[in-house]
Amino acid sequence: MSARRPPTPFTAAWRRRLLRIWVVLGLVACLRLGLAEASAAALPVAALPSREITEYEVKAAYLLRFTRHIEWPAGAFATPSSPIIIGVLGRSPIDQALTRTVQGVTSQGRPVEFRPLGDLAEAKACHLVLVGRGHEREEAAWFRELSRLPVVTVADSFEGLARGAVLSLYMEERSGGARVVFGASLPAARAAGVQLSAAMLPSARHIIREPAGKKEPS
Amino acid sequence: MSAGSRSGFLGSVDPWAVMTAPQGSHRAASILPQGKRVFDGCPVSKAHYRETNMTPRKRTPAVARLSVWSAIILGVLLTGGMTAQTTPPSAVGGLQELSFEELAGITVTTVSKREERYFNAAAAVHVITGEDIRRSGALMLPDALRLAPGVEVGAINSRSYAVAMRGFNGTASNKLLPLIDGRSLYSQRFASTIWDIRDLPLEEVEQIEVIGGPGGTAWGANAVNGVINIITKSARDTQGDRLAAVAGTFESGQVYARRGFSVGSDAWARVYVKAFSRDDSEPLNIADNNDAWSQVRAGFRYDRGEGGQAVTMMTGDVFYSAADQLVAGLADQAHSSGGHFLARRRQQIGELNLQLQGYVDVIRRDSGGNLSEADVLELESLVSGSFGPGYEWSAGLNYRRSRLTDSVNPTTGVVSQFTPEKRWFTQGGLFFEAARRPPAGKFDFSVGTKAEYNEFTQWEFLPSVRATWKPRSDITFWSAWSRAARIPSRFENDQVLVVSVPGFQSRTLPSPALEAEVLSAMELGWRWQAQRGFYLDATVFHHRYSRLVTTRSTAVGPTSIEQDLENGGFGTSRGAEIQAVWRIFPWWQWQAAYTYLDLDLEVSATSSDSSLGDIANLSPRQQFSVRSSWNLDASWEIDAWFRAVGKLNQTGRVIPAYETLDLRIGRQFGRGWEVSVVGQNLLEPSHPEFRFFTVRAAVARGFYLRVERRR
Repeated sequence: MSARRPPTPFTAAWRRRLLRIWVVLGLVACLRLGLAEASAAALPVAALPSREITEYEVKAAYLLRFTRHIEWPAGAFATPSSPIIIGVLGRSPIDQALTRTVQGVTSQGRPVEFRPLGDLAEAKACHLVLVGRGHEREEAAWFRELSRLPVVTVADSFEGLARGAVLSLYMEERSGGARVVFGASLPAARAAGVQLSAAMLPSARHIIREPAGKKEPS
Repeated sequence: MSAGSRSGFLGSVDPWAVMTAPQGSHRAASILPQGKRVFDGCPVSKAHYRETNMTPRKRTPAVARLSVWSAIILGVLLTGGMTAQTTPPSAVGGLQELSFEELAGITVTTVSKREERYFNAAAAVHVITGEDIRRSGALMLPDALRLAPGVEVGAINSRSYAVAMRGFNGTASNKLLPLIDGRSLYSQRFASTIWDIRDLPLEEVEQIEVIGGPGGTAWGANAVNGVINIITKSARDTQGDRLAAVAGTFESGQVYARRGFSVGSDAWARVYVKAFSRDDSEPLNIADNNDAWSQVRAGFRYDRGEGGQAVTMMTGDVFYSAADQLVAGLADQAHSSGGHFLARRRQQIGELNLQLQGYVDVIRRDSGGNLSEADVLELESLVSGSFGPGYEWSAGLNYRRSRLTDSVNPTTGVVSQFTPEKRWFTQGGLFFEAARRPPAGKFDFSVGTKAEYNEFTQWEFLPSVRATWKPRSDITFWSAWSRAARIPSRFENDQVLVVSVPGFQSRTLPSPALEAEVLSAMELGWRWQAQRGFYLDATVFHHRYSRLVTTRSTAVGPTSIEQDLENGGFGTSRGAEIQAVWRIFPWWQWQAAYTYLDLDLEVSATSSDSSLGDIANLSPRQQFSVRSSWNLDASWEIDAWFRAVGKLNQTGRVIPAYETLDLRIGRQFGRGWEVSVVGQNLLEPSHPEFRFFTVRAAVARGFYLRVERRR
């Protein structure tokens, strides 16, 4: 039987005590310095949440990927080095992610540019236009307005495809969680005069092949 | 924090941005296409996170967690989370070069649809998502409605609820119109909703739109103070099997089984069975309330061709319910049964969107020997198109035919006789709305009206004018003026009601001359989608009521009173509904709601009515709730929900104010298992919420365990 050792900083009790002191000090620091410095000082890196990938980062990556697989008619670009312009119509949380995604990136040898749009007229100068979610009531009319132009319209919902979009991004719930998948409408692409590459279509989760009525699912 | 970033811990909390580790550290994210991710170099598969907007947080040692929490909570309290915002370092590295297949394999954190879809709506819409319901622990539909601001919910006893918006609550809450997938739950017989037979599996709710104020332009008569629009999930989103069982003290048992499957390549379906039983409520003035009840319900939903030009949807269910009750102090059992079948088709024809919907809804009820039957058939069509970019119109037509039959057992001391005993009741009308919504413009404007015919009061006109102003992309102001009408019920139009107590008798005679009650409403609203996951939605309203139904004494004697009904009341109400949602971190969300209501009713100088003014005391002046949803890590969920409701100051029958707290702890296990433990009304042993004549019951503290398996 060993004699009782005096408490040292290495016993569990002392560790708990030190922790309490540390917490109090942390709180005092918060009180004294306000949140910014305190959290910078008192938060170990391990306490930061893990890196999560958000819905709109993946959607932004999809938009960039689309530009690599779409062939626009010859008149859609002024010069061989004109940028491919991605516009966003309406409110969408994609702005930040898209800005970062297209930064310094080229697609088909052209720079890619992101442009938030003020109105429908500006959308006509873009090559790819995403319509934000929350515009379900208006988007059918917008898609119609853009349908005969070489503009690839992208809906941010599954239903958008039926409303006339060329492409749609939507969420699919799987047992592992939510994922972003896409759908394509061949009649809408034909009307816009753009060519979706054969490499892209097998990846589409849903394809509309017929203009109306009869359609064969993919 | 990353070098050079001066922002605080909350600085990088932004719904669209991402928390990132310092660049170049070994903790920077790497992406594995199979929905796995790397935590500290070892792959961790994500837990089953269906239908959730929140993400788990990384496990940290308890020691660090404790101190970090104390620091954070205090810091947040001190600074209100207002710290400088800097953009976090680029987080998209690596995504740009992924193939379509790899992108489709990434499990993502979703953004709540709540904040997006309804941001520009020119109405007081509050959305309760299916996920909100799951995390709240509510097992009954009326309990789930407490999640939205503006809704007053009072449990009367084990099975009856008083549910209203913006006042006029009661068992006959006649100014609220609830719907499930476009099927009206409102009873034209009582002019109210019988909530205990209007159930559905809450697991299948996609969302509940709680719309304050008149919705008559779109939904017709009786949508006066609000509409509760319950939308069930598409069968496409409920594939696979789901089995859930609940056992508890008051919520004594519940079983839910669902099978979802695909029908061919373009159609999906699900079938379900739900059965539950609920215990007696807590008695306050008698020994035993004898109001335990149980119900079994089976149903289906079928969806076809969701992405195509034509969409078909069908739903149906049948139910049977048995409920203990006291009739004149004696134990009795009420039986209800019924069902519905609904079919809807949406189609695009050239430039037009066309929707056709029809349903039949059948209810049989046998209570205390009184048999009542209600059969409803409704057909609706809606067509919408545009005059050009930014100008839209929609028009609709509906026809509803009900058959209401009552046969009465005269032995219970309450005699009610209906003339005619069987009534066919027709309602129908047309609706037109035009709107100017320029793409990405700053102003939206819409004007519309519904003209609806009904057999009791003939034509009612229900116009509305709505405008939205979007000065910035993150702010919306809206305002609306609208008119709504509540048409008389069969009770008011056809019934002789005789209530006898020893030595006194009251007779209420039919009142076929009654007109519709009318509301003219002004509303203003403001929404703000701030950075860092903070969302605020506020509405203020001013309502003016006229032609409210009051009693008129026709003969008053020492032992009897005879009366009928007239439109002798009027009044105003003012109120506010405020909701705030704050996703502090991807794994921690707060929601708060505040409701204020000041209702002031009067009767005309010639009226003999003495009870109308007391209606204002059936609604709490103030309600407040706050809810925290916290994902401790990939598998643990902790939810707390606090509610405070003001007193109901009825003359001689005060229901005191109450505060209550619900707690839920949920654990996701592997292979689709989920277990949750819920404690409800934890702050006191029991509290009353509402009363109805002699029925006095309290809601008791309760606990239940829920186990679910998904495949």
